[in-house]
Amino acid sequence: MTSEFVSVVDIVGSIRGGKTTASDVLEQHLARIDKRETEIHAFNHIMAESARANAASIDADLKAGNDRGPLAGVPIALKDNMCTRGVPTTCSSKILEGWKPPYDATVVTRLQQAGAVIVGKTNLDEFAMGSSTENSAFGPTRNPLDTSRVPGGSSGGSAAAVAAGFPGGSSGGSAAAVAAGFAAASLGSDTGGSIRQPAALCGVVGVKPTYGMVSRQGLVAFASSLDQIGPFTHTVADAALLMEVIGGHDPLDSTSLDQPVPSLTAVLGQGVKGMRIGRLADMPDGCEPEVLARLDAAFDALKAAGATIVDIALPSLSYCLTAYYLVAPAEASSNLARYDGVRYGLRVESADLISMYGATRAAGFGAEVKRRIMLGTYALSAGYYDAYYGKALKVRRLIANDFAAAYQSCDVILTPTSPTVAFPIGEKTSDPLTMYLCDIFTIPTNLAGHAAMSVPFGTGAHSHSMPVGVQILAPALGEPTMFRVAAELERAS
Amino acid sequence: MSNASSAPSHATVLPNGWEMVIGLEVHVELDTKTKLFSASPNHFGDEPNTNIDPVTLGLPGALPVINRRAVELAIRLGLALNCTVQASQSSTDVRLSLQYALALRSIAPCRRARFTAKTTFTKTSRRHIKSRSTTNQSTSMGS
Repeated sequence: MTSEFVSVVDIVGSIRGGKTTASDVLEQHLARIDKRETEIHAFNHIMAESARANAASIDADLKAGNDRGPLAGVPIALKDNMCTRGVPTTCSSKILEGWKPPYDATVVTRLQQAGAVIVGKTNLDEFAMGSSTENSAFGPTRNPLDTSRVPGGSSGGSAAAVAAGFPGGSSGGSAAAVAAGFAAASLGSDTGGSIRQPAALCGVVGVKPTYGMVSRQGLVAFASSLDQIGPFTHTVADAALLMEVIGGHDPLDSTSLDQPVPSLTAVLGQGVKGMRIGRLADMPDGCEPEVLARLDAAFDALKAAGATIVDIALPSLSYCLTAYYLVAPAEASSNLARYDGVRYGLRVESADLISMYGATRAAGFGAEVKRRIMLGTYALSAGYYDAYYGKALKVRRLIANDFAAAYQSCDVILTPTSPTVAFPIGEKTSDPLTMYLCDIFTIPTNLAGHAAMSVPFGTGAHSHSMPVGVQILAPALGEPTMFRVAAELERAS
Repeated sequence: MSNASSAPSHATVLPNGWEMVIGLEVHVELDTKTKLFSASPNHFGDEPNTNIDPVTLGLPGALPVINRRAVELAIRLGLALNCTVQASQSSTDVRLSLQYALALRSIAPCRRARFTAKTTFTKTSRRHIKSRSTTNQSTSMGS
């Protein structure tokens, strides 16, 4: 499916080599958007006009012999929770509908400086809360590979835009945007799997970097201690290039690591010979057999390439989901307190100020956002804090200890990204707990602040042929090793 | 700051077995060039809504970055008061997300974001009485 699309690396090469222009590349992507966007709904906002102006300016500069950076002319989509100056940034929520930030997120500035052409803002689960992009106030994104299915979430739009497949996860729009070939790459955000899960469900590459490697300045906060921005791409090399562009220290983000991004594009060819790959001795229940079959095939491929497989245990894994659904809503309830109708976004006028707050928030937030605000407020309230939030923080420590022990005997861990392939739209919306289970393999990484990525590794064998993603887990700053494994899996798939 | 339990003048005021401990919370507006959590000028008397930026406005996506100079001044004050500065992991910032009309019903609602940094120094005096020095700057929109 992805073979018809050209990679970021190829686009950069073709434009530099004079074989095509930034404007031509952009028009090809805009034509795909014209053809399929009504059906897929990867975007909240398409920026055709500014993109055309940018592409023309890049072409003029290149013609004059000026270097416009490592992504010159590459069409890129952004999840609609990253601030773009003068361009609507909604988080797929009615409460921010129409709001235009007066500033750019750091990642947006870095993409623009590298010559990327921003084509639009992609759909997501409202405030990135979800695993299917069905929680968007503006309607669901569909998986470009089978439009009856979700793209995953919450960056589903971003994935779909690249894959034109169906999105998953809260970044469903970003996933879908890439999968659909609406953009050569996109950025999503990952709080509990919202880049990796939609990447898996849409058949594209998705990276959740080590916490602090990519600046969060300008990313509308969901859960600040878990959120991290990362790329969706068709290839591992593209993801490495995007990471090198968006990563690195940002003085505007106190949690940004004060060190450069390690070189990733340079290590892709180094192979996995001698590497130790961790395998969960106890696989959680609920995985589809075809997903497990592809995971086994991935282990075989790495073994054939010279790696050894090591059984490891993560005893606290079963507590992670519960801990996550205390920590993330707790932080969300605080982060979302600012939406009071006073300064920006929606305001529902009412008799007095206090009832205006309530009326605005009642009308502006969707059901899932309200559910999580209530969960979080409860978990943080006096008398329950120690029993819930305090205990969740202890689980966070335990899973970090589990990982530390596991990485004594292995370099990376391989798991499914998602227990299932992309599921039909509407299948899980009535039962939030079933939806939350989608994130069982992705959440531990966020709790520990580690790195992980999803690489497409074939498709399910049965009634459908939806893509299966394999997840590579690495310790903090383990990106170089993680990318070597990803490149090897890509060669083998 | 405190009185010893044996001081006779208090024995007449306090019931037996009680000791008076008084904590002082002192607010000092620091003379830093920029605000406590943003790079906007920390300058009073300017036109309203001029010394502002995404952080001071509490805009979505904006992140506070603490003013290094303010931390240095807080530590200096702590040392001057003969306090122990806890060098590692003991300083926390609390971001208050207040809906002002709900929090302070007696005060007219004002559109401002307020950040409070609290650095706790534990005074190693005879009875380990805690004194607390608080630096507090409001990042007001031209109050």
